[in-house]
Amino acid sequence: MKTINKIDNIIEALSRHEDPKSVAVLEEIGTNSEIDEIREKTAHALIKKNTPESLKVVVASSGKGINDLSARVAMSSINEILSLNDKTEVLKILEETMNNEEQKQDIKDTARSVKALITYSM
Amino acid sequence: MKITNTNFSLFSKPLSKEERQEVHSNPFGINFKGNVLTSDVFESSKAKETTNNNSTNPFAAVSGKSKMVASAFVGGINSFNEAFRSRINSIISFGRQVKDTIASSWEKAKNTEISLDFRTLADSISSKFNNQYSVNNLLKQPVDDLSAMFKTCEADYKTELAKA
Repeated sequence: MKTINKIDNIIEALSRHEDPKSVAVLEEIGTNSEIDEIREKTAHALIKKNTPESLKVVVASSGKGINDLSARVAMSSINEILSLNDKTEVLKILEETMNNEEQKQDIKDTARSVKALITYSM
Repeated sequence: MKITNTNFSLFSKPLSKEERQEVHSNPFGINFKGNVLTSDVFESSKAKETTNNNSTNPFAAVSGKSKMVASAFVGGINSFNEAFRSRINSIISFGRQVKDTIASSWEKAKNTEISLDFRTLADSISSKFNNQYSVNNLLKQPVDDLSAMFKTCEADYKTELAKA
């Protein structure tokens, strides 16, 4: 089995794992990886999990998920958010991020843009 | 002679080739366009002369030829009927064959015992596809183990990319 396929399966297993520690593992190893491909797959897994903890990582963390420095990772994360069936949780997290006084301005702006995209696409 | 007086019917049972050859009045079995002529298309030379010399009937000149064409037409209809009937028969026999085949297959299926040893089957499948990295197997492992595997694989992949 190819290494990238093994990584795919590990990320998939972590995204489906019921243990809440799985989010921390995905954040620690996946979103901090030097490889764009792994960061992208991890962001997808966190969005698919659709929990407040996993969504906070991709929405409100600098350099991760929709705030990733790689345009490919950021855009595909936004795309994954837009394709969620239940967007209630992500809208709540986006709202919180926009209204958080301590949050960086660029992260707030990105959250606002994504929220506008979701509103237009609904 | 009126058309109503003839016994000929388009939908009557067509005669077979042998029957037609026996019935037709043409003693020489003349063929015209592939059909045996079923009516007498010959006319006496006397009649022909009369026609050529002083006939007032404009259709009389072509009557001999028309007779031949009409006879060939009738023969053609008979051949068509025969061909149509034979095709229908072959379709019917094909249908019967299909029906018989299905019936015999059903009988065979009814009398066949099917037994599956699921345990052996599952073992053989899992021995072939037993993969430590399959999602189902990974899901059974604790997150800490997955974390360690993730780290190892990520490092391996980084090395692979560096080599490529």
